[in-house]
Amino acid sequence: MNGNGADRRRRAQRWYRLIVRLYPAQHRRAFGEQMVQAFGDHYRDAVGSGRVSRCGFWRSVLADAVASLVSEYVAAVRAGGGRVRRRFRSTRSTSSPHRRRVSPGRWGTRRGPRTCQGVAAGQGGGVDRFGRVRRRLRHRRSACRPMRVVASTRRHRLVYRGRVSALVLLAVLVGAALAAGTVLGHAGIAAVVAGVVAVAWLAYRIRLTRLVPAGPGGDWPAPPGGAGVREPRRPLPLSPAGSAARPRRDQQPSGGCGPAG
Amino acid sequence: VAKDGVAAALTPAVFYILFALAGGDKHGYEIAKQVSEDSLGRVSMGTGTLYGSIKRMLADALIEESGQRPAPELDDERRRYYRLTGQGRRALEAELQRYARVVAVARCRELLAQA
Repeated sequence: MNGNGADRRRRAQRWYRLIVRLYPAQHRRAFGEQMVQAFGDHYRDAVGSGRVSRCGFWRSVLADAVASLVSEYVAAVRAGGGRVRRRFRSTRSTSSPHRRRVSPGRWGTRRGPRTCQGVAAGQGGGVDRFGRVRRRLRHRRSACRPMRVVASTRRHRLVYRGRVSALVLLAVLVGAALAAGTVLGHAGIAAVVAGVVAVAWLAYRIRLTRLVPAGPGGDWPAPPGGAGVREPRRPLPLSPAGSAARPRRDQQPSGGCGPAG
Repeated sequence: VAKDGVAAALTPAVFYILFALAGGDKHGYEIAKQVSEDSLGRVSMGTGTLYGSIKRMLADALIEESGQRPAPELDDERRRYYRLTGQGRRALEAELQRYARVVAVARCRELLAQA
């Protein structure tokens, strides 16, 4: 494969890496890198040798990815016995025998308590006398939503905020709408509606975030006393509020107290 | 292999992966190529399907990661090689015997042309 072909292969691998990000985390961690590598070999043998067109290659890759994504998520749900139940257990206090009751109005839903627990304890939630984790709703939505990095550069990161299952569901619904439109003879209208819905959803869920260095040296230095501690205002040394103005060396002090001549 | 000792039928993907690894340790893409070759191009495994099958076979202890690298100086260090376990070899043999029995019965009933 020549240089151009190698570049194309690397680009294809970058795209495939995005597909790999859609797999369940456990599968991705165990096999993600191997999958990308095997994909690169496959690309070199199929497209690089000219045996298969790029379009045909990607079609087969996408078909395989959709099928295996569905089977992996089904397997993950079966193996996990339901993510909801496991999360539910994890929020209970180990010392308290009381089960945590969940009512959406007061305590929030069961979404991601593992991450919310810290947020709740640190920012006004805390644990009540029954050992139940108390969360504040205004922290829940942003803190509990799972985030997945779609692409990242040195300074920016494109993140998808939400569940992958919702994305899969959206894809299924869009596909169903397109199929229904085609069958009923209104393919154009169905495509426009599906496109608008998909773009609106992605615009709502995908965010571009800017990365700043951690610690003092980021956008602004941390306040004295540590993050979150607000100290009372005090005059800076030699500030007009705290002391008298000092004349410059080449300037005569005002008033008649200076040496004459 | 089922608990009562009766060999359960393997899926085509699992069977062909075991069949490919019977020839020696291989990494993922080598397995996929061997499967395509052994099945005369009828079974084509994409990367997602391949590693999904490998994951399940690792969990069932039919295959395991191989510590030996056939050609370490020529190969990428990040590659992982797989090999058959004893259980995987037994499962493959049981499946092949099952196929042989089916072929024998088919020949007896003249459903299959004699070679």
